[in-house]
Amino acid sequence: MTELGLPPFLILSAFLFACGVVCISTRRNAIGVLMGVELVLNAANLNFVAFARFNPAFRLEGEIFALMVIVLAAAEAAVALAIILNFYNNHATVDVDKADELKG
Amino acid sequence: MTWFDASPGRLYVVATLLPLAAFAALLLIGAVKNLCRSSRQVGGVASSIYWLLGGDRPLKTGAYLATGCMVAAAALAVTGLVWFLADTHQDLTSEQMAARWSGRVDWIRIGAADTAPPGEWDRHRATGPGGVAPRTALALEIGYRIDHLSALMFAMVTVIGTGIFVFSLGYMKDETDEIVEDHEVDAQNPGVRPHPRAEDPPEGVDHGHSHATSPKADDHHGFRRRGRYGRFFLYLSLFCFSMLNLIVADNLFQVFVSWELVGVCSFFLIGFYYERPSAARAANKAFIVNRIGDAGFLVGMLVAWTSLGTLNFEEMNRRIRSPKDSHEQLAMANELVRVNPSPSKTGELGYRLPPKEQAGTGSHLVLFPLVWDNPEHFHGMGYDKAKHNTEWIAANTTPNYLSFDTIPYWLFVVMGLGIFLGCVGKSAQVPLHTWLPDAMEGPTPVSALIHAATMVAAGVYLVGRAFPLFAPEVLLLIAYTGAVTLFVSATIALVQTDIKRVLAYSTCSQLGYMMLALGVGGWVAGLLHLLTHAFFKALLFLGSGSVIHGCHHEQDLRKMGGLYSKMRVTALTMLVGVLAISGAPFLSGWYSKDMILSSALGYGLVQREHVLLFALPLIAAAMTGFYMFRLWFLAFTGTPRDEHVHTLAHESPFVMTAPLVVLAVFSIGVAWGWPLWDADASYLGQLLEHAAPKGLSSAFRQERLEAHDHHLVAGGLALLAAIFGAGLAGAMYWKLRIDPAVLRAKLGGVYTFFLNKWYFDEAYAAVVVGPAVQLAYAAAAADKRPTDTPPPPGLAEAPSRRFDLLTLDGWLNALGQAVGTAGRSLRVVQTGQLRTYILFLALTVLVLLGILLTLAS
Amino acid sequence: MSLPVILFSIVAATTVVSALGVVLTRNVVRAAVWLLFTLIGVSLTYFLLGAEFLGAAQLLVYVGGTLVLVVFGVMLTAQGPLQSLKTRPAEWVVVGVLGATLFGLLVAVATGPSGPQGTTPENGQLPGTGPLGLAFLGLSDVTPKAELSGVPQGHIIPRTPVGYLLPFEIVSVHLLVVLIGAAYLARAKRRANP
Repeated sequence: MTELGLPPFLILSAFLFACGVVCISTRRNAIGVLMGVELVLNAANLNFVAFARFNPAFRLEGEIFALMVIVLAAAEAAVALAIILNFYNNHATVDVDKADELKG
Repeated sequence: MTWFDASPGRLYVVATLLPLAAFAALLLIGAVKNLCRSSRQVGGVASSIYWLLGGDRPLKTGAYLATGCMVAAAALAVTGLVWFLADTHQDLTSEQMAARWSGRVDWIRIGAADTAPPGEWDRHRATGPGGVAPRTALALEIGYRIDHLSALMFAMVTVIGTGIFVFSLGYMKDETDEIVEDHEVDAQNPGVRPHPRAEDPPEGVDHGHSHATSPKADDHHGFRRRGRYGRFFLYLSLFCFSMLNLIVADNLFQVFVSWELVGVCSFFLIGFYYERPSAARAANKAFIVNRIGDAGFLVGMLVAWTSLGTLNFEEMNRRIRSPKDSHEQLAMANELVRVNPSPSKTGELGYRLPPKEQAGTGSHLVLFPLVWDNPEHFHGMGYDKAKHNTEWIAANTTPNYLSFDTIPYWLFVVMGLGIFLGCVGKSAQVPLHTWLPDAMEGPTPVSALIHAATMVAAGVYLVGRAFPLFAPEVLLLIAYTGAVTLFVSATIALVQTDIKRVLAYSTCSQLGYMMLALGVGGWVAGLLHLLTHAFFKALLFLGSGSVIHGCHHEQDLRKMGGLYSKMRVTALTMLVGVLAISGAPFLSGWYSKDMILSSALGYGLVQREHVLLFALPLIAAAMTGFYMFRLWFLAFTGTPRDEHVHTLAHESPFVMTAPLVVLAVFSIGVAWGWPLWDADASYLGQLLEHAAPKGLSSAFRQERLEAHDHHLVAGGLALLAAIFGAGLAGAMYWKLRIDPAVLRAKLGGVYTFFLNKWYFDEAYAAVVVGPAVQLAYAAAAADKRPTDTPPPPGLAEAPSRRFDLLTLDGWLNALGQAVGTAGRSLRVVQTGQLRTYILFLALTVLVLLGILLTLAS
Repeated sequence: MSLPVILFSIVAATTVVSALGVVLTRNVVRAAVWLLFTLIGVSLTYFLLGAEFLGAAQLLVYVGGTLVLVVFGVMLTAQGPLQSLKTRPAEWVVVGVLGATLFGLLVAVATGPSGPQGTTPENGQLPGTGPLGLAFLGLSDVTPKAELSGVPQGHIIPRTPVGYLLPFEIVSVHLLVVLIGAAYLARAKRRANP
């Protein structure tokens, strides 16, 4: 592992992040958007762990933060699903483009 | 007691604050009551508080509280006066006196605060290298300073104030009712007087107050309102506090604050019956006319602040008046020193005394240091030990308390003029006298308070207090203003028929006497007259109030007559007042008027071109006797001219007559001295002499000598004039030897001229008020019409509208429209779509990352 | 080519491919399946990094919990047309360019000269379950020897003994609130408007 170094993990994380962003922006299905968010969160998490592994200053903090992110992601998914279901109940669709009530 | 022992001047502080405390208490009670009023029927705590505080009726306790505070203040003032006089007989240095009888603290500090500024009395000790640096004048202070003048004035105001408070307890009894009906205001048309002025009989210019005789009056129900007993005493208390604060103030700014407070209180009180349009108008008039004077005062004060660097009377005095000159370079101490600009040999700008033969001229006025190297020894002007150059004053770039300084002489004159203009407004001198007669709209005790003790006294008092600040030119103007005022007002008073208006013009006239006296150097005479006049004018006003009260608010002299049998106490006490104001020997008015006339005569003898300054008051003395006795005879003697009034008339209750008697006693004896028959020997005058400005005797030495030599002549002439006037009045209105109607017909135009008050109001309306209103309308029209609405289609735009659109309006509109357009265009960005927002978010992250990368490389 | 490198290459390739699958597939159900593989890939990466506890947690919570939630969501809203909403090609182009740029920039930042510098740790193991639990209770014996970027070498950074009890509690309460909120939001509202 030592010969691998930090950059490959960062690059993998960057790729996941970019995928997440693209997923959020292209998906019209609200659940697809939620998946994009999960991707972004995972990218961030990967970074945390990688830094914890390759920088002794963050050995404990990196892992603990990653744990928290996992937990928060679960909570976030629950709330997001609740919102999506409500939206679906009210609009009979999960197309986020239809949810433009806040249009200026 | 030890607190007072250390500094007895605190008595005066407490006495000043007592009416303020009463004011605060009354205000609090009123506020609480008004808050609880809405729930008075509901019950609960608020309701019980409401009923506890008197319920629907005004609370009498508040009035008693205010009166009690005033009595206490009067007691303190008298104690303080006695204590002060006792102190002056001990051998106390001026520093000790100052420590005991004055105090000052910073109020608003504008500059940096010095540590431990020296007291004014030990300031000249604190100059050595080790001493405390003098503070620069960057603080507005509050302080008090008791000298003979303020101690006497304070006692006068509190004693008269007490009398008026007690009198008001009775006079304002109507206001204790739950519902007061004001017949002056038509209930159906509030704001419209029930009787137009055209109905007035031809003799008078009485503005209203004639409701009782008009048969139509009974058809109307008066305007109904709640009683205002508490409010009246609230205003009175604030009024007294303001005046007392004005008297004890040791600096011009504090005087100004009190000055404005007095003004606003007079506004409240004159407009006490504010439902009456005439009262509202009179209140406005008093306030606005006083504003003109106050503007001048403000200018004067600002000049004093910027050029003298201090507003403390004592310090201003020391700054502009020379100290005792040890080298006899200046003629004498305590005078204004004027110099001319003169560059030194090295080209520095400086100032030099004019040669001896041109003494007293020069374009600049020297300001002396407040703090001296050696207070016992004045080396001369701008003494420089190294150069032994004693005449030349270097133009100091950073003037301070330690250095000589100069201001242009015209600026000094402007300062005096400004302050005097304030006094003109307050003391109702021509040309700003028009508010005073209209101020009769207020309740009569208010008139007494305004005319005797407070408002109009403030102007004269300030002229006396700020006397050293007046250049000789300003003093001459003061004298002429006073002379013109006393003459004009006396002529108007001759023909008035409203009992209070006669007294109002009489007040104007007497104030003119005081101003005249001050202007001609009779400082003591003017202020003595202020004190004595306060007593007998208060007496006269309260007496007239008693008459009005007894006659059920009838103020027209033509409807009175023969009231002597009905109200003996009032008549006799008023007779005392009439005698005193006319200058009958051995009454207080005699002493002061004698002194004024002898001062004027002395001035006229020295400066022959100003002999008018003696002639006018002499003529006016005759007129004073005439109009005062005319008033008394018309009211109290002869046959009743109006049966209705006469049958209903009654003597006032004890609470009203008691103050009359007390004031009558004061009016007789307040100026007595020994020997009684020597008008110069008035004890009160001698006390005032102690407080006289130091430069007075040197500046008016010749005049004072002449006045002393000829004061028998002046007194005799004045007495003859007064007797002539009184006799004429008696012949016309008592013995009916001369028919007034015949005299009126003979005088013709002059009579009308006097009756219309020299057409001052009309002139002001034509010259000032009318054009101002026209200008306002024109401005409103110009602002409104052409630009607000676009022209109808097909018509060209008006040039003014085009101009407007190109300038301010256009720019502002363009600005507003630009903001609106920006908002509308940015609105598109807010699509409300989640994905767009994410896109922008990602873009932002991109940009930030780009920035980060650029910065890193 | 050591074993870790080979393993990482395989795992990373799996993750990348499945992530692309999530992005590119049009059907939500398929995207969910792709996401499953991505998450598993990430958890495998954790294992590779030596964070076994995290990897396990990732598998349990994400794969077992969150993903099931997502699938439930798909199921509850599954209607024919909604399963595959189309996105316009223009959007695809724009977003694709954007994503590529973002990826490039991130990589540039991460691997650039001023990017984060990894140090070679003397002890490759990351703390396991025990130390993590102790850390949550504030009883950690792990005293980090920090070499933070931007702080000069040898400069002593004062740090308190690490304890994460409070954040742990906050997170738990937060979770509770969130779950209650979610239940409230998602509850059937038939009764409210009959």
